[in-house]
Amino acid sequence: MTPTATPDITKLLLAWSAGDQEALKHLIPLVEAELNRIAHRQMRREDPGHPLETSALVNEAYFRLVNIERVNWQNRAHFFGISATIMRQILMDIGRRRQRNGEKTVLQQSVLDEMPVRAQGASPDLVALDDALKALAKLDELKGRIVELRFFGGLTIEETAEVLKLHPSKIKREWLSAKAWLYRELGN
Amino acid sequence: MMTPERWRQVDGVLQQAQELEGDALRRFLDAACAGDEELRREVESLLAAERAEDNFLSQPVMEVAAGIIANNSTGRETAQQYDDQLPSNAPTLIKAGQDDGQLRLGLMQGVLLDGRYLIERELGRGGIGVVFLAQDQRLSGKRVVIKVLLEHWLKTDNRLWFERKFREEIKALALIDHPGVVPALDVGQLPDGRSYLVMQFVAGEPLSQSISPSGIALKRAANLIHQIALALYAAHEKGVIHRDLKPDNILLQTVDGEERIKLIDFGIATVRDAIGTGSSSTTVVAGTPRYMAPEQLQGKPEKASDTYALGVIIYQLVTGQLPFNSKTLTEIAAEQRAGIKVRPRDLHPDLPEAAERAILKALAIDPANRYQDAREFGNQFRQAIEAVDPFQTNIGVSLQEDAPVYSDAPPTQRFPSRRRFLISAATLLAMLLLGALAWRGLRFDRTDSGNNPPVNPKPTLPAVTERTVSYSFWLKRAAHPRNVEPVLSRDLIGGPRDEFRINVSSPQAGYLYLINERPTPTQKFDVMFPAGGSAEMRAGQVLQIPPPSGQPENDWFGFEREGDTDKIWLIWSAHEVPELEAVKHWANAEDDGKIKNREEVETLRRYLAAQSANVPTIEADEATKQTKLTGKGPVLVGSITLRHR
Repeated sequence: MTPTATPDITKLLLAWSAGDQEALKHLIPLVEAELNRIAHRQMRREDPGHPLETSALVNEAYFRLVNIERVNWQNRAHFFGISATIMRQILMDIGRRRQRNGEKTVLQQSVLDEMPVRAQGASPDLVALDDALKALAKLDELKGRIVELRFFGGLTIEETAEVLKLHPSKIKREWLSAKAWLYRELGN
Repeated sequence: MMTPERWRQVDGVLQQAQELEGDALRRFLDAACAGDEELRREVESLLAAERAEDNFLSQPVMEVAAGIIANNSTGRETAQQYDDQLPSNAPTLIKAGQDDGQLRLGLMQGVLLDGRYLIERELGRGGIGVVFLAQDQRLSGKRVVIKVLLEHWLKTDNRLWFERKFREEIKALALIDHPGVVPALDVGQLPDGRSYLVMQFVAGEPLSQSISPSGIALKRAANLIHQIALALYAAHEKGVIHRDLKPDNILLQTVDGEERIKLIDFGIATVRDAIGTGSSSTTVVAGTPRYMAPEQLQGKPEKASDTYALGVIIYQLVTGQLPFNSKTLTEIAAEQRAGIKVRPRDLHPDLPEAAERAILKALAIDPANRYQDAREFGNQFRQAIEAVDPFQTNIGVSLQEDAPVYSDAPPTQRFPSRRRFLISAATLLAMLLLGALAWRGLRFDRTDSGNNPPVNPKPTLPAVTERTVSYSFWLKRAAHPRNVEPVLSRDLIGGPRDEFRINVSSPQAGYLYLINERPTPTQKFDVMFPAGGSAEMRAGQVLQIPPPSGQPENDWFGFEREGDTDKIWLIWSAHEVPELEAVKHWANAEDDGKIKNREEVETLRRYLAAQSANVPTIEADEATKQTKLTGKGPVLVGSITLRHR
């Protein structure tokens, strides 16, 4: 019971990774609440025109929350994998809730000043992405997991390879392929 | 609708096509999709999609998640705690009549409890209660800790009983007035009827963070244990049993330049026990059973159970190891019954014998054979440490340092004495040898009614010879096959396609055997060395295992399963070992070293158990990554843990 970052989240993660499905139920609201708080604080204080900074903060807060440093390094890759699933779950909850209210949750691009203007408009709805991802996982489980880790977990190719115990070059080919499938699916 | 089979076909072509451009791509598609126009259309449309401008997937969702979450205006009530309109510390009042779900959410940051305690954040959540950090508004924001029973216990049939039990414990805690126990400050009630307990906030580190693999200084350990014992004694005097004493529940503070302990988490444990024994057949033991006394594992805790836990803690403080390492209740109980396999002095030779006796007495299986009270234990332990003449301790150390070094050892095999240190947790754990089962059997009968837990006495072999052997591991990671590096055995952790080999050498001549013991009961042992040939090793020879076969890529062992632990037994003998010679022949090349016969497995098991009573001295050299075993007698047996990722 040290007054550091909420240690129970790490415990819950451990419990969950040990097969305790109940733990996930407790985990989601805790992570969400923390994310929420930080995101709000940041949005209030900072110029919303700097989404990258916001996300970096969320990212940092998220991993501070999970207290990844105290997790055995052997399990680190595993925990990054878990965090991807949690992030997906949280965003999908929001997306589906909004959908019930007739709203869409568009995955806006973070447009950085120094980058050229990109094609507008085609960003898909969060729920549509989730549905497409589920369809992909049905067809090809590995690709579904890779997308989850890369996109929702923010893992690099190498980290993803570590989690899945596959060679990075294999991950890279699979990732390109998975993206192609999803883009086409969502473009329709 | 595409089938998985068809997709695999499409994907196969697609993945190869990804790396190609222009003419090369066209030629490849012509060949790969010959006669299957639909396949070609599929691949081309996927390629087009991949190469489109709008590739949002390339940025992780983190980049946009903040926006989505912050704009989640239709979110659950959770979000309302963080309403933009409120300053971050604006209190939200709990109103009576809110349902349980809202209340749970209500007890979060910014909530003002009873007009006094402003919740800052949640500190922790166990199987029983939730703990919050709060500010006492009446005492100008002084920090306090608030503990509440988890709300879901209220939904059970026994809610009143739990609640009463919790309140009893709160009352008992309020009675304890001792600087070593975190004091209770206030008690209150939530609108749903749950009691809450307000305690002093202690800005300290848990003792668990002080534990190092090689143990902490004896003087410091004695001081801490003495303080903990006094605090426990004060609680016991008021009839309060802690029941969940462990390093996580002991906070360390520095007061006036001195280290002070404070015990936390009294009380909750009682409720936990009650839940475990009362509600259903499933045992709820939220704490770690590794510190629990045998009678407590059976659901009958008493004051002496705390003394036992203190015994486990001092064992861990001094040696860096736990006396029992299993994870489940039943396994721990079995280990406790089997007795302490490794005495504290085996791991920490500088520990005075009287101090070891005190630890073992605290760990007696029968509570009646432990100390009268915790205070007596604390006193005796401290006296045992302080009674030792510091000069004598130094002699002990220097004798160790002056242990004979063989002059004919090749220079690379030497261990610079400054770098010598006792090996750390993982490897010592690996060295937790099977123990002389026969001896223990004898001893167990005698001590059943005696004072101490059964302990394996070391057979006093005449000091015939001393044998020594050094080994190092070379690890080849699948991800970096060219980067072969030496590692200490404690760092030997491999994934499915990682490989390793072992170099062994000794200043003496003798016979070397390496046996792998698997966690699976069905296939227990493999012979790693010798593979059919001779076990003989010359003095000063550096033996590479597996021996070079002419095809370097084959000269490695693999890590097979995931998440398992193997044990490599290393036997270094002055003479040929008949039992192992027999096994070696049994484990012929066709069987790939596997010992399949049950009788053979038993022979080997018995041999290893008998030999490993003679525990070698272990030294690890961080610089050369060599581990050196030294032991008396003609046969030296060590074991190395092989961990799979």
